[in-house]
Amino acid sequence: MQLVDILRQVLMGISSGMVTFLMAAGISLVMSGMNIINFGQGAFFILGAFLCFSIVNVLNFWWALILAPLIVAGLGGLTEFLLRPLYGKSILYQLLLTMGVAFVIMDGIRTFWGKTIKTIMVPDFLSSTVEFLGLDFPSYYIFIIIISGFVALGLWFMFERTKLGMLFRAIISDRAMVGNLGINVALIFSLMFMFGVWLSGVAGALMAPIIGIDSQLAIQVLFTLMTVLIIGGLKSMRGAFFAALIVGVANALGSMLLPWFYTLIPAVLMITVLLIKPEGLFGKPED
Amino acid sequence: MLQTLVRNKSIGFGVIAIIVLSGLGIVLPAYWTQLLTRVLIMALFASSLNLQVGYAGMLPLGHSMFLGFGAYSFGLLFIKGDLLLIPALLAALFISIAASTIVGYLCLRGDPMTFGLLHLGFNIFLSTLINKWIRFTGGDSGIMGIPRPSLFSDTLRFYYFVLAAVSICYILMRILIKSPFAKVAQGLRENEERLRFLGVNIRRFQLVLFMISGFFAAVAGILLAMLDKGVFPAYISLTRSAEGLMMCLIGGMSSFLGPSLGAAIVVIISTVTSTYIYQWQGLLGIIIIACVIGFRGGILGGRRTQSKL
Repeated sequence: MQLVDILRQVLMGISSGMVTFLMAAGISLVMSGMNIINFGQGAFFILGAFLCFSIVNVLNFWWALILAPLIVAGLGGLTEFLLRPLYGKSILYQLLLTMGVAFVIMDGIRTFWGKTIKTIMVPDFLSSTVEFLGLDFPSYYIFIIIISGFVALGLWFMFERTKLGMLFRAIISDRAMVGNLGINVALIFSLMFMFGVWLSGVAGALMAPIIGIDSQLAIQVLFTLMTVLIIGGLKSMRGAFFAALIVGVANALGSMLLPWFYTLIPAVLMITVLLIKPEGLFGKPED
Repeated sequence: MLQTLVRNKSIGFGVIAIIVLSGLGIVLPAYWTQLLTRVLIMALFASSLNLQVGYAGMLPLGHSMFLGFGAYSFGLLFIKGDLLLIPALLAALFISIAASTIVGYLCLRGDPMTFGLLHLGFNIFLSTLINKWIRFTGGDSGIMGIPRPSLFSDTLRFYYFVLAAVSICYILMRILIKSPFAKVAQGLRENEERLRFLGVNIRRFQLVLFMISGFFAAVAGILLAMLDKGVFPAYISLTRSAEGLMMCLIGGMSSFLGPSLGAAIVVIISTVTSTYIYQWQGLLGIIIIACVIGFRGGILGGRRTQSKL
């Protein structure tokens, strides 16, 4: 085991952690704003990857990176439309509905794209390696970190500095008041949900070249997201960021050091955090 | 009408139901007897789930893990542990109760949303573990060669065995929900805060309910393993958990027999359609969406339907 291998794994861990963060941020946003957990996030992720696969064959990777998330967000809008009668009802119904949507998407993918695992090539100009500190790193991972870093920064900027972000924050703190001010809360909800799903689509399209694209991944991704959200604290965006990086790096190192049982690492982390701090590392205690 | 009968004359109704079901075993051809056995087992699973969902308003999103606990611990103890049938069965039940205590304790540490997520997290974790740990659990192909009790090995006799086991479980559950214990559970669903002010230790209460619910699910798991003469990862899958919630939803969460009716509908539809289409998961998704949007009370929902849920 050499240092260079470890560093390479850490880099891969950071890149997958960043991507996980995008999806977790989507769930976290929807959860704080609308009090809904979107269980479809994993399915939307893999749908993004499959769309990327199809678009790459027709156009090129850049178009795929832009179009795939938009199509996914459109489907997210449809899901939000289905969710509308359920606002204010028990969380159970919303969970079941998003879970139902996830099942439909996964089977839809199997019907449409077939059961075989799809792969796409890393775009030519990113298939080389980058030299850093005298070591070679695959440049696609750097590309993922840069793009998702930009998206995360954009997310932060949108949230903190724009009118829309202000409305999002206002809805999170007092939904009824925002409605009373004559603002169309239903429309903001739609946008919020679509935005959350769009993030998942971006994640799917970004990951498409380096994973085996398989509809069953949706469940695995959902699992990672759950652990990240629980470790970081359910409604904390900052918590989700650090938790995603921790889980990503732990997973990457684990896959090298303990190839058999590395799938258990996030769960072990999750249980440890829960025992010490049930509300998550960055969550606020209830009451 | 069915519901008033259930409420006031539950004993009479239970006796009639058992007689009718016993009669059906003789009348029906073997294929349908087998299907009915499966319906009974899944009805037990759905009812155990409904103890949490319908009575206490909890959100156990990964209940199939207890079905899996029962089935896998029984199967592994019998096949790999070389235990006899009865000791394996008792040990499996013991392990399941212990496991549901641990999982319940860990899940109940946060708010209701965290409970649901963690429950689901454990479910996915265990199903991943079982799929990956091929040497121990057989992975995708499962564990074959689970026996039925020698006295009840053919289809009809096994049907009566399951009918007896499920009836006993139903009677126990019925006693449970008529007890003061269940009144606390309903109070928990309606107004948790008030109960806390009354000095009820909610966590401990929920944990006890969780263990009871997990126990009945494990019984269902063991029966299912005997029915299929094997244990398969589908038992512990997320789909199975969602199916359980759907059974409760279709039949009606606020009634005792609602989930059982839901189980009958889901099992029969899935068996019948699976011969024509292979996308059961997608169909399940569509049914869930339709039920959640248009049909929240369920068939046996009755008048308390829209109270809190």
